[in-house]
Parts: sequence; structure tokens; C-alpha cells
Amino acid sequence: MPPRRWASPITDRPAPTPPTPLGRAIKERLAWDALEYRIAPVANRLPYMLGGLTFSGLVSLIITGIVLDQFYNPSPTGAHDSVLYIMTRVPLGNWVRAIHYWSATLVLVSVVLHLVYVFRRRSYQRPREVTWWAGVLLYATLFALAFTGTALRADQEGTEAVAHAVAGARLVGAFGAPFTPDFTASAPLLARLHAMHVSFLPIVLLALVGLHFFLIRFLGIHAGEATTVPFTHHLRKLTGYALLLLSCIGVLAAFFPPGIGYPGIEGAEVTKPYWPFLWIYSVENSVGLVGMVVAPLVLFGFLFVVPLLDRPRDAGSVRPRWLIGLAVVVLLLFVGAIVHGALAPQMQHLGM
Amino acid sequence: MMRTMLLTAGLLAGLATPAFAHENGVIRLASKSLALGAELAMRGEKLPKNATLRLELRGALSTFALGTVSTDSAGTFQLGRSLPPDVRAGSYVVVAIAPDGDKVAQADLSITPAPAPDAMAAMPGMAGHATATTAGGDAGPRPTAEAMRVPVKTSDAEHVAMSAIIGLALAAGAGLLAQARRSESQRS
Repeated sequence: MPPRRWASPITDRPAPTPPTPLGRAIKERLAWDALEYRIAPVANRLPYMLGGLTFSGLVSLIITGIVLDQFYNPSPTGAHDSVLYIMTRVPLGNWVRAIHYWSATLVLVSVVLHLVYVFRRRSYQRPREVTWWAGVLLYATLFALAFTGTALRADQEGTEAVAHAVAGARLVGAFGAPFTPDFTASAPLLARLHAMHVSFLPIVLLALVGLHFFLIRFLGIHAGEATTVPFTHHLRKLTGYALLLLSCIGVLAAFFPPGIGYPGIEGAEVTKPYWPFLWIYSVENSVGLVGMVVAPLVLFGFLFVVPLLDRPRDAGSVRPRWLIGLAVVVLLLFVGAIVHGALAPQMQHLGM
Repeated sequence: MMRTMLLTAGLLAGLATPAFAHENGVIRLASKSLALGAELAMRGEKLPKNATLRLELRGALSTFALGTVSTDSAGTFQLGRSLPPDVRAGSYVVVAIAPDGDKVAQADLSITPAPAPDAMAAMPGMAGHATATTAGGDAGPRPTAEAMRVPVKTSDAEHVAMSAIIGLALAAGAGLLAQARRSESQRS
């Protein structure tokens, strides 16, 4: 069989250097050509890559998470010691843990920026409502992953996070039963939160990522221009930015590794949560424990109904001003509540 | 080429295989979960005959010596011993080590915190025990939001590995972006 003609995906002219045998073999056997479909050139601008960069953060989280899980002990008596073991005895353990932490932080920031940018461009409109909803569910799943990850440290902050999870679970009745210690006597709650963190939630996450990617592949992005650039070019550029970002995370992790608190003591409330949860903490400061159910419902509820509130009536229809105003208010409240939660004195919520 | 790759992978896998110790013995603990201050009772079986074994309690962060024990002509032993006073609650492994340094048996043990003072005081014959186990009447650890001071030491080899990984990611990322830019300029 004669070798296929190797052409530049951009110019369709023969590439200046022939590919290596390994490259040719990979291209041929892994159907690499399938990725050379055309996309809009605008997709190669950085704001359009926020979703892809979030995904690169997820890849980093999965790889570092697999490493950390080899040394983590999810039993209530062994968890804290095993984290200390990772930090002090495992070669590169403290750095890997720090990369995990900073990747989580990056993902939680980039996913918000991605959502804001997609909202600004009205990319949630027909036929991309499900793409948007999958993204919103992804965001919620990331929150759940961040929350369970915090609990796994089993330090004071983690112990209080578990206590909040139990209190919140009791507020929602039967739906919250799996998050209470009474659910089963055969496995401690920490072990079940660990199982969620490393199995159930990643499976949900990957399924949603798959759906999100599938819909983007077949519905395309909301670009309003001809699709002329091969996806492989986008992939190359995105991987380039992702690697630069990951090297930045590596540097951050080396110089600013996250610490750990003292072993948690149950029944006490002396810490504040991981910063992405400070907006919920701030609402709890005002309305009590019920805030931990109401605040996420309001935020995710709003995000969920956005495509229903802004349906295109005709080709030139503009977005209702009140919706823009509402979105700005929600965003300001979200950011403001995080800042307020960070600055406000520590408060007790479990007895409220 | 494929053969070379397979051969290399096989060699690397062979190098990575750990040398297993002669761990054929069995340690049976009377209870797999003990409270701090309780007695650790165990029975060893299928161990080297008429040998003196060293027993250790290994945790994630510390190892405690449990002394030595002699096996009989059937390769068994029985032992009851108090947990070391400075051991903390956590997950541990009881390990029996032969004179040649080989690990010959092991068993998992979970050590839980001592019962709360009130609960202990209410138990017959346990009044006053809690005071003795909480460092001379200290109320025990208090909850704090402070971070622990963990002595993390990074070796030179780790610094080199971290720098290499960061450098590689940086170089590969920059290379890909340069390649993408070249393709774009070709296009225009």
C-alpha cells in the first residue's frame, strides 16, 4: 500500500519534512485523520480555549490523584497520618499533592471564566442548550469533587467539612442519606466520601465531559464564521497553552504548597472552608445552615434556566436587558460573598 | 523496532518488580481494632521454627518496637503486650521480622482513640484512667484553625526532577505554540 500523501493541515501543501515512521504508524492506526475536521478560526483565540484549559487541569487532577491515592488511607484513624506521610515520606509527594491542589484551584477559576464567556456570547442558545446544561452540571460536579477532596485531609477543616455535609444531608432528608454516618455501619463516612471522590464523581465528570465534547464536535461552537481551520491545529495550540499552564502550576506547587491543619476534632467549628466555598459560608453567616442548601440552589438554578430565559425569537433578537442585569447581580453576589466570607470573622453554623 | 520496544519494556518491568520477602507466616490478632492503652494479644503461626523474631508496630509516620518473641518447634508463638504509651490512634501493621531481617508475617491493626473521659469514668473500674492517659490532667488537644508545621524536606534529586518536569512542560508547550504560529503564518 503506497504511503499516504502527507500534507500540512493548514495549507494543504505537502509538508516540508516527512513524518517519522512512528508518526505515520500512529496516524494510520489511530485514525488521526478523523481529528482533521474543520473548525472556526476564532476557536484558536485564548478566551475560546478556557474550556480546553479546564480540561487540561482535569487531566492533571486525574494523574496526580491516581498517584496520591496509592498512599492515602481513607480510614478515619489513618487519613491524617497518610496525608502527612505523602507530604514527608513519598518522593515528590508534597509537590504532587500541591499540583493536585493548584490544578483544582485552576479548574475552579477557569470553569467560571469559561461560563462567563459563554454567557457573554449567548452560546447557550438553541441548539446548544444541552451543551450549556452539561457544562453547568460539570461545574456542580467539580464543586462536589472539591468538597470531598477537602474532607479527605481529615484535619480540622476537613472534619468540619464532613460535619457540614452531614448537617446538609439531614436538611434534604432521604436524598442526603448516603452522606450521613447512619447510612451504614459497615463503612465510615470518610471512606464513603473517598469512594465518591475517586470513583463515582470522576465517572460522572468524565461522562459529562464526554457529552460536552460530543455536542461541541457535532453542533460546533457558536462562532458565526466559516469553519476553515483543522481541529488538529487547535489541538496543537491548546496543548501548547495547557503545557505552559501546567508548568506554571508546577512552579506554584513548588513554592506555595498547601499545608494541612492539625488532626480534626469533631464537634468543633473553628475554621473557614476552602476558598471556592466561601460564598456558601458567607450565606450561612447570614441565614444559618439552610444557606448551604439555598445558595447552591440559587446559583445553579439560575445557570440552569439561562437558556430558557433567553430563547431566540428571530435571527436578530437581542438579549433581554433584565437578564444581563440579573446575571451581573448573580456574579457580583458570588464574588462579593467569597470576599465577604474571607474577611468576615469565623462563625459557627452547625448549632444555628 | 517494535521488538526493541517490547524488549525494553520487559526489562524495565523486570527491574521494577520488587524483591518479595519470605512472608509465609501468619499473625492472628485477637482484635483488629484496639483503643489506645489496650492490650495487644496475638498468635503467630507458620513461622520459622525455634527462631527469635523481632516484632514491630509500623504506622505511616512512626515505627514502635514491640520487643522480641521466640517461636516453638511448631513455628508458633503467643503474646499479650500493652500498646506502647506514645503510640497515636491510626492505621498500623504488626510485623514479625526474622533474624536475617526478612519480614516473615504481618497483620493490619487499627488503633482508635481512647474512649472519652466521661464514658470511661462511667465504666466499672475505669474511673481515673482517663486522667492518667491525658498527660496529667490536660484537657487533651484543642481544635485549632492553625496549619501544622510539617517538616517537609526536598532532596536534591527531587529538586532536579521537579525542575526537569517543569522545564520539559515549558519547552514542549513553547515548541507547540511556535509550531502552531508557523502554520498560521504559512496559511496567511
